[in-house]
Formats: sequence, C-alpha cells, structure tokens
Amino acid sequence: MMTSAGRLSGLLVGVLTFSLLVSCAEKKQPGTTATSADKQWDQQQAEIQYRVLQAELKLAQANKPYLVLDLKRNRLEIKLQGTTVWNYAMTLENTDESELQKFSERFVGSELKVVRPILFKYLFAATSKTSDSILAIVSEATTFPVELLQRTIPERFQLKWSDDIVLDIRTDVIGKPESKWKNTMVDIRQTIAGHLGDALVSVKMPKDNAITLYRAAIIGLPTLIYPAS
Amino acid sequence: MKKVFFFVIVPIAFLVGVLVVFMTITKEKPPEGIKLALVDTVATNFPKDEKLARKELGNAEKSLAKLKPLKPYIVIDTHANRIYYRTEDSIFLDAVCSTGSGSELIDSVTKRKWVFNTPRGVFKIQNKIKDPWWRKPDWEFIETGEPIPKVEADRMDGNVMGDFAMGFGDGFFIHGTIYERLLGINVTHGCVRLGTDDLHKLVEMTPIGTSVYIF
Repeated sequence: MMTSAGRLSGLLVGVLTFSLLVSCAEKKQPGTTATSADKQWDQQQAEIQYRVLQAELKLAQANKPYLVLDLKRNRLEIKLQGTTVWNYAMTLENTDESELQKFSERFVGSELKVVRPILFKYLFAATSKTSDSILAIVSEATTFPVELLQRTIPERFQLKWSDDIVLDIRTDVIGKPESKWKNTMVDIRQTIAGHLGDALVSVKMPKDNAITLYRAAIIGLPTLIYPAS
Repeated sequence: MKKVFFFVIVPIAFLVGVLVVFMTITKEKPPEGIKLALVDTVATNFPKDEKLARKELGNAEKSLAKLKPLKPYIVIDTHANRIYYRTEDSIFLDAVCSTGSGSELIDSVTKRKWVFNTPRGVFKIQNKIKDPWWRKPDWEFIETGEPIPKVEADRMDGNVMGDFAMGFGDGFFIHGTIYERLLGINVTHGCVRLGTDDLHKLVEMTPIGTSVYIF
C-alpha cells in the first residue's frame, strides 16, 4: 500500500517527465522561432542599439541632413528629421563581408561611437554634367554665373572619417583625373594601410546617386552607423 | 655576420624607414573647426537590468518612429535637381526638376541683396493653385534692368508658372515652366520647376498638408 507522500512524489515525477517530453518535442519542431522575449540578451549589443537610437533622435532634432551607414541592410541613406530623403542599396565592389564587418567594428570602436563627422572628401576624377556650350547659353539668358549652374559627376571619390575609415565610391563615368600624381599617392597609401589593418569599403553607384552623395556629403556632415550585426 | 648586417638588416631597416616616412607625410590632417564628437553618444544611463533596458529601448524606438511621416511625402534633391513623391521604402514619382541657382543679386541703388536658393528643411504644402499668375517681385525688374512698376497690374504675368502651383511657404512654389529644356539645371530664383506631365501627376497625388523635405 502506497502512502500519501509516495503518491505525491509519484505524481510529481509524472508531471516532470511529461513536461520534459513536451519541451523536447517543442525543441525538435522545425521552423520554431524564438519570440523577442526568448532571445538571448546581449547587453553590449543592446547598449549600442540604444546609443544609435539616442544619437539619431539628437540628429533628427537638428533639422539638418545626416548620413546613415546602414550596414545591417547594406544601405546608404541621407535623412532629415529622422525621415529618409535619399537612399541607395549598396553594391559592394572588391569588398567582402569580413571587410564590411571590420569597417563596422572600426567605426564603433572600443568607445562604442556611433556618430562621426566626415573629415575628408577626396575626388579622384570627374566629368561635367552639362556641356559648357549649353551652360554658356543658359547663363546669358538667366544672368547666373556658369559655375553655379554646373554639376560634377564623379567617376570616383572617397569619404573619410577619423581612424582611417574610408568609403570609396565608384561610378561607370569616365572622368578627368583631378591630379594623377595625388591619385597614385592616395592609392599607394591605402594599399599599404589596408594591409596594416585600415578599414575601407568600396561601393559601386549609378551616376545620379553619386551626384547627390558627392554634393551632400560635405566636410563635417554627421554620419550615423547602424552597425553590422 | 657583417654580410648579414649589411645585405639584410640595413636594407630592411631602410625600407621600413621609407615606409614610415611615406605614411607620415601622406597622412591628411583633419580640417580645423570640425567637432570630432558632434553628438555625445555615451549612454551612461542605459540600465544594466534587462527588463528596464528593454523598456528603454522600446521607448527610444517609439520616439524615433513618431518623427517619421505616416503618409507619402515630397523630397526635393537640390543637388541632383530631382523631385520624389515617396515613402521610406517606395518611390511613387521620380522626376527631373530645377531648383535655385544660389546666385546673389544686389540692387546698386538701395543695396538690397537677394540670394536665389531653394530653402532647405522641412515644409508643408499649403495650397494648390490652378492656372497661377506670377506676381513679379522687385528683383525681377532689377535683374532685367527695368524700372520697378508703380501699378500692381504691371507686375502680373499669367504665362510663366504652368498649369498649377503648390505653395510651401515664404512665397516659394512648386510650379510648371515654359523653359522645359532647362529642367535638371539650377536656374530658378528659389522655386521648384517641373515639367508639365510630372506637375500634373504630382498635383493629383499630393494632398494639402503633405510634408516637403528639401535638402
């Protein structure tokens, strides 16, 4: 004859066995996804995400455009008051995922920095959007100086942030080199620096997108990163 | 030993020296006056407790989401002279336009000065006008060397703004043009010019109150 304590312990063992079986069965179900509450909490990732959000809120209040390097979605964006006004899905050129990751890690750094201003903009080669003869006619008719009417279509240019972080943008346009000697020096330096661990991401872009980015990316433009996960 | 020193160590040291000098002299110096940290992103108050941290993240996400327009909006890209009617991920209209030249005009008599820029920032469509008339401002007469008219009717021109005009504040409009060949070039005095077909499409799509982002 079983005592009540024995019966209770038997019941407990039964319940435990049943719940163990149920949890095993759940784990084996294919395609089961964890809810956000179940996701493993990563304090550092969460803090970076929080900094990104806080930084964007501050940038949005400034009522001036800012550049967003969205390395989660491989997108470049220009935003104004938190709203996307220009975006480009990045087509990486001679850049693999590990280099993108390195770029992201270098940008954020040990100080978990998510905003950096553009410090340098270097134009390798470019061509003019409108022919000089047309502009001369337009200028006469409108009395506007020709140089204000012209737009540069870059063949290749670079944006640089502190700590030798470089975004290299290339188009299909054949342009006139600004300075062959300086272009060579920049390329040699970056080849050496690349082997020493500098972060460079190269992007191919249609000319219309490149015109906007080249002109909008002024020195000092705040750049926010959504780090690659 | 001497051979190793002269033929191996010295050339390597020389090459390393050249490399260091090259990298030093070709390193660009950052321009002065640029703040290295425009935004203080050090979130020292981020909670260590997971539950509180999740709540903080959620609040920040909500605050940012509130800034985004719920309806489609107009974007004017003054760099590429393009106008868009879009949401964050979809573009409903992409057209060539003309925006301000950025040039200056100074009246030699009164010393009044005008800068012909399309204003940057966020605005709203305030009105839609069919068959608009242009009331020529003083600068139009100064620019063309004509006397400023004393009669208001002499300022009015019904043939230059196209079929529609949409005002977005301070006397600036998105309107049509008789100079469609100049679309894509920065030739305006600040208004945004559009081709006839694109203007008709945009006017039809755009309700009054639509946000206009100009950069």
